[in-house]
Amino acid sequence: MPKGSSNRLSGDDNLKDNRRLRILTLRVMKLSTIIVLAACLQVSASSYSQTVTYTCRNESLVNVFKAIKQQTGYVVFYDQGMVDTLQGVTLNAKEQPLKSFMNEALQDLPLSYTFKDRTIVISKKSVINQLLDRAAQEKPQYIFGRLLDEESQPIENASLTLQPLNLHVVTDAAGSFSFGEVPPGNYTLVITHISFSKLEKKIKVKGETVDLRLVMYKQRVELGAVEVSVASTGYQKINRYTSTGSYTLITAKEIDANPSINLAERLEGKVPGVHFDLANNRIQIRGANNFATGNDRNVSTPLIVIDGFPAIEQNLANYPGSPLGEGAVSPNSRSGIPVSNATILSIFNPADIQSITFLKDAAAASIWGSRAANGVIVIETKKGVKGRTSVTASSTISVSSTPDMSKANMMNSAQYVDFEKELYDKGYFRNDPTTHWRNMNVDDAVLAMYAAKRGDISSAQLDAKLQELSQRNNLGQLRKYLMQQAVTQQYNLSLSGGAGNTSYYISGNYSANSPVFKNNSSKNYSLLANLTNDFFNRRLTITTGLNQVYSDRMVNNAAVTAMSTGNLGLRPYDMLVDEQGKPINRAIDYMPHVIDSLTKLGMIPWTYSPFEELQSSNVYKTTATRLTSQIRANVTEWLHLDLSGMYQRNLVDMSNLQKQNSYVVKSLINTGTSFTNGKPVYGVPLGGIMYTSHTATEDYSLRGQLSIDKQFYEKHQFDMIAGTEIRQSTGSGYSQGHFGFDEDTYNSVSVNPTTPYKTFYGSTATIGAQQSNILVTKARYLSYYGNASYTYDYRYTASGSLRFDDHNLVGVERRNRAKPLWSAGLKWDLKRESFLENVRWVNGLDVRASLGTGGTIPMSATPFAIISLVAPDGITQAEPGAYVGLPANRDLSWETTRTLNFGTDATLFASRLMVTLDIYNKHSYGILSSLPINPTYGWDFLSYNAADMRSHGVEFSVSGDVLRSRDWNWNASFNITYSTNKVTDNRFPNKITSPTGSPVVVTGYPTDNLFVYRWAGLDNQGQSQIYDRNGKVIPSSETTDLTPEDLLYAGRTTAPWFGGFNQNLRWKQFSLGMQLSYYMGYKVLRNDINIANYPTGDQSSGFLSTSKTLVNRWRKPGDEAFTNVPGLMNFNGTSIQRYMMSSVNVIDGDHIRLQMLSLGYTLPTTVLNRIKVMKALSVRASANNLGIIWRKNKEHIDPDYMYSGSYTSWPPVRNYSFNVNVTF
Amino acid sequence: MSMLLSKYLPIMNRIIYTSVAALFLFVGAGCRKYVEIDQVGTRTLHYTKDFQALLNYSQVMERTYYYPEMASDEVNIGDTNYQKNMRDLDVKAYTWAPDIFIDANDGDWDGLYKQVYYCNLVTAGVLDSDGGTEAEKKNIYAQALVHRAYAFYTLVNIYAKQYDAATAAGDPGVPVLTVPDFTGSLQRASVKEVYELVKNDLQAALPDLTDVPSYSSTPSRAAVYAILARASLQQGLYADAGKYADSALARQHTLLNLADYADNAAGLPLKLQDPEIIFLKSMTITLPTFPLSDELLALLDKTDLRYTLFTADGANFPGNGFIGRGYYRPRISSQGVYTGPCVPEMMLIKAEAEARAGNIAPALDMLNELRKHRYKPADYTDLRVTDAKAALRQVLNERSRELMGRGFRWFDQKRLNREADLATTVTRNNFRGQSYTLAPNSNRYVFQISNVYIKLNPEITPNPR
Repeated sequence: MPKGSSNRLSGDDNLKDNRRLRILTLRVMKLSTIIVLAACLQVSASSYSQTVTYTCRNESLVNVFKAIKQQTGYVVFYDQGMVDTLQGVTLNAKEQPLKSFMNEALQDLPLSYTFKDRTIVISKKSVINQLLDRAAQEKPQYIFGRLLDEESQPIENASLTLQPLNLHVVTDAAGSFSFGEVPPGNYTLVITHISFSKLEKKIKVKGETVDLRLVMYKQRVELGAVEVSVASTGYQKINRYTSTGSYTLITAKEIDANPSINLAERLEGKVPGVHFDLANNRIQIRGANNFATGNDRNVSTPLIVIDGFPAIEQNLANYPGSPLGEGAVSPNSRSGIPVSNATILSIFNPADIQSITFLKDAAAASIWGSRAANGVIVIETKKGVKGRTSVTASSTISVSSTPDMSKANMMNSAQYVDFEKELYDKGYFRNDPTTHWRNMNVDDAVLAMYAAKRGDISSAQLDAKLQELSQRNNLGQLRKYLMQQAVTQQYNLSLSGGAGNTSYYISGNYSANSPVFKNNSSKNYSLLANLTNDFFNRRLTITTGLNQVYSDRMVNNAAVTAMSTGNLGLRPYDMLVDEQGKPINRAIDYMPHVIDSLTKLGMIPWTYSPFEELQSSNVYKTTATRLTSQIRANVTEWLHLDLSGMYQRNLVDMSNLQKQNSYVVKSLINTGTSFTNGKPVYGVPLGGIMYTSHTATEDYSLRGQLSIDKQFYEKHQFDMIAGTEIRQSTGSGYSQGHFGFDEDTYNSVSVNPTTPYKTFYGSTATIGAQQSNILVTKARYLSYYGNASYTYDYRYTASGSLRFDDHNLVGVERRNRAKPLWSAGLKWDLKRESFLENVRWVNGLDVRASLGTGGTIPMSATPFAIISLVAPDGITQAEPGAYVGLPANRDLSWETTRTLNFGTDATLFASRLMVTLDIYNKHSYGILSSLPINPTYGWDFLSYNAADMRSHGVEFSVSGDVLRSRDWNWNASFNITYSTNKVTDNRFPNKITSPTGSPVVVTGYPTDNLFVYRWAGLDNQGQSQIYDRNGKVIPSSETTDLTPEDLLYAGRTTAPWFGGFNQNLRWKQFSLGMQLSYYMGYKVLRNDINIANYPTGDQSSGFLSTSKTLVNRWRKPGDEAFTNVPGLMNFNGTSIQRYMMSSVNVIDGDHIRLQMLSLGYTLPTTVLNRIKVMKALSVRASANNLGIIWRKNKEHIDPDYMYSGSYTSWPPVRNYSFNVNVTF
Repeated sequence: MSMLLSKYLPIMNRIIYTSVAALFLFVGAGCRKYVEIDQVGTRTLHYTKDFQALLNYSQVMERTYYYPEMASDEVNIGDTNYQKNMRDLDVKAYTWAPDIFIDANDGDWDGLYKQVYYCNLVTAGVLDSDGGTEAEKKNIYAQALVHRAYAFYTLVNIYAKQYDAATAAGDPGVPVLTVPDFTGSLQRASVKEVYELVKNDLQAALPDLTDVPSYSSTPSRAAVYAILARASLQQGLYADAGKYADSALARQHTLLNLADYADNAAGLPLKLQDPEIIFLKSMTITLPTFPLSDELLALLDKTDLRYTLFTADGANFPGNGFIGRGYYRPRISSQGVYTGPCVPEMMLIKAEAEARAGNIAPALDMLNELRKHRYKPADYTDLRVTDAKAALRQVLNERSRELMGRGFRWFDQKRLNREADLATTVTRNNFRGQSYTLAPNSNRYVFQISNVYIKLNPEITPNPR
C-alpha cells in the first residue's frame, strides 16, 4: 500500500504489525538505541540507497526480498509458508524507487505490504480487503489529488485531514494523496505543511471519484534545504495560529545569511523592536524599563534561554576578560580590549542554532516571570530529523582589510610638533629633565627645545631637529610591527539523521580568530550532540543534549598601549625601530643617562619597548559544558508529562605571565632595588610575575511540567501547561600571583607579602597579598508557572499566564521577594470569518491584543543592613572586618512594568507579502531610583521605588517576494521600530546645571536625554563662552551658578527610529544578499576634544591626546572668528568642560550602515544527481562591515565609533569572507 | 513479547510519575527552605562578632580628616610650580577660601559621619545580637561609643567655633546622630552639647573596656583617657587634661627610641605594632605631599632624628616633587598619617598642664624624657628654662616638633588663639601671585559645611566665613 493512501482499509493489520514490530524494536533498543552509538550505527546503515535496480524473470519472491535488503538496507519480514506457495515474478527495474518497485513486485499477488521504519512487512490481503479492493474497482469512491506549490512543484509530507471523518494522510514525493471509501457527503479538507500556509478546501462527494489539484503557498521562500524552525518560549512551542503574544522568529537560514563570527552582528537589523548595540555589545528589547545606565548588569538586558533553560552565559557575544554570566565571580578581570576590532567569540556556535525567538510583549514573555521584564531571547539548538543521515560540512574564511589609521582623526607628526612647540612657548613645560636626576624624561621635540634653551644647540639646529621629527611618521611601523591581518576561520561538520526510535544531531565546530592587534587570538572548539529516543510506541520520549565548548584566548595589550596616549603611548614621530631595523628602547621615567648609570649599578635596563610588551600576554582557557535532558511521557494523546533538567558549567582559567622585561615588572623590580655597600639588594625577586586565576560557574535546573493539548468537539482547542521548577546557580573563583617566575622551569620564588622591603628611594614597600580570597556565590530560584489558551472554531483565542517566582535574597522576607506576574491575551483570526474567506488576495489576517506585567525585584536594597565580611590583611587591619554593603531600607518593593500590546499579522497576495505590526504601551512604575540623601546620615544614596515612566513604541515589518518565478526570486524585508519613553514622575525636577554627557533622570524627558550648554563662541582669549537663558554671554571665568533653564535640551542619545533592510535576490542558482541597518532621530556628543587634550593645570608632561580637531585651535586673538576650539593660552577646566558639553559639539546620529553584501552559488540538483556524492553544495562570498552609506551629520563622523583619544577607536574594519557548504 | 511490554511500560510510567510527583512535593513543601539559604560572606547584621567586624573595618573606622592640615601654618608653599599643580580643594583649604567645597562633597565630613553611622548600627543592635556573651556585647557597645565620641569630638573642632565656656551653649556645633536612621533632624547641637555627649559617652564606655587591647585600632580605657585628655586640653581644662593624660600614660607609656632606627628607617614598626599609638586613627590621605613651613623647620635641630628621619627634601617625593622639605614619615612604610592619641601626645599634654600650673621642673622632665628618645645619645642635651612662660613655650615648641605634619597644629592654633601672647597670624605670601592672611579667631578657622548638605537638609545652619 503506497504511502499517501488511507490507512483505514488495513487498519487492523497494521495494528497487529505494529505490535509485532514494537517487540522487535524493544530488542533492538536494548542493544543499541539507548547508547549514543546508535547514532553511529545509523550512519553506516544509511549509506544504502533508496532505489532498486533489479532485473529478473520468474524469480522467487525470497530472492527479490534479498536483493531489496542488499540494495536498500530494508529488511523484509514475511511468513515463509505464505511466500513459498506463490508464483515467481518478472521484473525490470532501473533505479526504481523502493515503493514503486514493491508495488510492481506484488501487483498480481494477494499480498500487501507496509513500511515500518526500516522494515517492510508483508502480509496477506485479508478476504475483506480483497473484496473491498474489488468493490473499490467497481465502485470508485476515492478522493485523489496532487498537491503542488506555486511553481507547480510537488509538495511532499503535507498533512491532510478530511473533516469530519478525521482521516489523515500524508502526501508522497509526487505530491499525491488519496482517501479511500469516502461516503457521499460534504467534507472539508485541511492541509498543513510546515513551510506552507494552511489550506482548506470544501469537497462534495457524490458517488464518483474526486480528483483534485491543489496549490499551496509558501509561508516564506527559502532556498536550499528546508529545516524546521518553530518559535518557542522555552517551555513550549509557540503555535503560530493561537499565539496572542508578540514575538519574532529568526530561523537558522537567516542566521546563516551572514557569516560574521559575532552572533549579534548576524542578527542586527533583522528583529523589529530589538536594538543591537554592537559597539558596546549590548542588546535591548523594547527600550529601558528602569534607570540603570552603563555596563551595569541591571541595564534592561533580556534573558537568554537555551534549549528551555536560562543560559549560564547571558551575553550573545563574549570577549576575553569580560565577566561571566550570572552567579559568576571574576577575581581578576583584566579586560581593556576595545570591543570592536577585537576577538569576539561566543560559546553559542551560530552553526548549531536552529532558531532564535525574541519574546517581546507580556503575553509572550511572562511565562518567564520576573526574569522576563526585559524580554526573552530563546535559542533552540538543532535536533536530528528522522530520515537519511545527512552530513554537512562548512567552512568560512574571513580576512579583514587593514584599518586605515590615517582616518583616525589623529594629528600627524608635524601637527603634534607644532602643538608641543606652542605648549613649550607658552610655558607649559616646566621641568627641564636634565636639572634633576629624578625628573622624568620628555619626548624628543621637547628635549630639543630645552637643549636650545640651555644653549646646547643653536636655534637653527633646533629648527632642523623639529623639521626632522615633523617628517617622521610611525603609522607604517605601527602597522608592520604591532598589527596583523585579521583572519577568522570557521569549520563546521554536522551529522543529522535518525530512524526507528532515534534521531540525532551531532556537530563539531572549530573557529579561530586573530584580530588586528598583534598577539591577540582566540580559538573555539565546540561539540554538540542532541539525541532523541522514543520508547513504548512514542509514549515516552527522552531527549538528551550535550554541548561542550573549549576556547583558548590570548589577549595582549602591547599594541593598544603603544597606540594610546599615556605614559607608554607613542607620539606620531616615535618610531619603533631605527634605520638599521633595531628596536628602539625608550626612556620613560628617567633620562637615558640616569638609566645607564642605574643599569651599571645592577638594575634591569629601565626602558620601554612595545616589542618586549608583546611577549607578556593574558591567556584565558574556558571550558563550557551544558547537559540537558528531557523525559516526556505522553499519558494520553493530549496529556503529557515532562521532567526536564539542565546542568551547565563554565570554567575559566586565566594565566598572565608578565615577563621580567615588561615595563610593569621592570619598574616594580627596579623600584624595589636598594644598594648596600654598592651591591644591589632586590626587594622584589628577579624574574617574571605569573598571575593565574580560576573561576567556575555551575548552574542546574530541574522542571516538572504537565501539558494539555486537546481538541474537542471540532471547534474547541485547549492548550495548557503548568509546572514548577527549581534552579541553582553557583560561582567560585580565586587568583594568585607568583613572583620571580621562570618560564623555562615554571619555578617561582616565595615572597612574604607583608614584610616590607626597602625601595630605591629609601622608603619601604610591601609586595602585598598575592592570593585573592576564594570568592563564592550562590543563587537559588523557585518558580511555579502556568499558561493556558483556548481557541474557538480556529477563530477566537484567549490566553493567560501566571507565574510566581521566588529566589534567595539575603534579608528580604518572602512577601517582598516573591510576587505573582500575569498576562492575558486575545486573538481573532479574521481570515476564517465568512467575509474574508473568499477574498483571494488575503491569505491570512489576524489581530491580537495582550496585557501583562513584568517586574524586577530590587536587588540593591533590603529592609535589613547587609554586611560583607572582609579578611584581615595583617598590615592595616588585624582582625576580620565588615562593611555595610547595603543599608537597611524598609520601604522597598518591586519595579513593575505593565505592557499593553496590539498587533496584527497579514499574509497577502498569494502569500507574497507578509506584514506584521505591533504597537505597545508600557507603564513602568515603582522604578528604583537612587536618590541622594544627606551623607551626614552616613550614606550618600538610597534606593526608593520612586519613579514612573511611560514608554510606547511601534514595530512594523514587511517582507515580500517582489519576484517569484522558477529562475528569479527577489525577497525583500524591511522593518522599522519606533520606541520612546518619558519619565512621568514629578519627583525628578530638572536640576542639571552642569551637563556631564551622561543622561540624568528628569521629569518629562526620556531616560537617554542630552542636555548641553548654549554655545556662544570663543572670546578674544580663545576661551569658551556660553549663553544663559536670556541670551547673556557668560565667559568661562565666570563660574556663577547656572540654572537648568540655562541649558538646552539637545535630544535623545539612542535612536528612537531604527531597523533593517534585507534583500535576497536569486537568479537560477545564484543569490545576492544584502543586510542594511539604519538608526534615525538621535544626537551624539562629539568627544574629539576633551580635557585630556589640554595640559593638566598649568603644566604639561607626558603624551597628550592628539585629536586632529585640535589643529584648528585658537592661537591668537582674531582666531575666534573662525574656530570654536579653545586655545592653549590661559585655558581653564571650566572653559574646556563647557566647550565639550555645548551645543557646538552636538551632531546628528542618523545613519544607514551597510553591514553585509553576499553572493552565493548553489549547485543545481541536476548536477548533484550526476555527481551522486553530495546532496547539496553551495559557495558564498561576502563582505561585512562595509560602513556607513549615508549619514546626516556634515562632519562625516561615524556616531557609533567616534574618536576617543587613540588610534584604537576606529570602526570595525571591513572583512571579506568565503564560505563553502556541502551536504552529503 | 507482549508480556515484556506490559512489564516495562508500567515500570517506566511509575518512574516518571513518581519523580514528577516527588518534584512537585519537594518544591511544594520545601520551597521556602530551598531558596532561603545563607550566602558566603554576605548576611544580615545579627551575629555579635559581625558587630565587632564593623568596628574593625579600618577603611571606614580609621580615617579622620585632611583639609585642616592644608589650612594649618605647618604648610607653606613657595614653589610656584607646585602651586600651579595643586588640586582645587587643596588650594581653597590652603588659602582659607570662604567657599571651600561649594557644591562638592566634603570627604572629611562624609567619612566621619560614616563612622557615626557604623557606630550607631552597633549601638542599636549589638546588645540584642546572637552568638556572643553579655560581656562581649557590652564591650562592643562601649567600643562603638568611643569611636563615635572621637568622631564627634573631631567634627566639632573642625566645623564649629573653638570651645569657649562662656559661649559654648549658644555656639552651633554639629548635627548629632545617635541612631542609624536616614530621616532624623540634622539640627546642629551646640558646641557644649557635643562636648557633653563626647565626655558622657566616653565615661559610659569606660567600665566595659579592656585596659590595653591587642591592637591599637580597638578602643580601650587608655584610649578613653587619652581622648578625654585631648578634649579637656581643647576646652582649656588643663588640670583635667593633665589628670586624664596621667591615667592614659599609666596604661600605656612605651616610647620608641628613634636612635635605634637612625640608620634603618625601614625598620620602624608598622602601625599596628607601634607601641606609641594609643588609639589608631589616620588622615584621610595616606601619602600627603606638601612642603613644611620654614617656621616649623626652624624649630628642628639638624641632629633631631625627627628631622633626619621624618622630613626629606621635596625632590624625594614622587613625580617631580617640590622645592622645600616635606613630612616624609608616611612614605617610609606607606602606613598613613597618625592623627589619633599617642604616648608622646599624652606626655606633651601632661607637660603643658604642669607648665600652665607653674610646675616647671615636672614639665621639663616630661619634655626631656621624650626628647631623649628623639636624638642619638651623642647629640642629646636637656632643655633648661627657669620661668613658667618659657617652659610653656618650650612645651608648645616640642608639640610642634613631635606632632609635626599630623593634623594637630590646626586645632592647636584654634585653641592658642584665645591667648593673646600665643596667638598667631598666619600669612600665605605670593601664592599664585596673591597673599592671604588668617587673623587669630577669624571666622575662617571654622570650616565651611558644604552647601550640598545644607541644600539637602536646610535645618543645618551654615558657618559664617
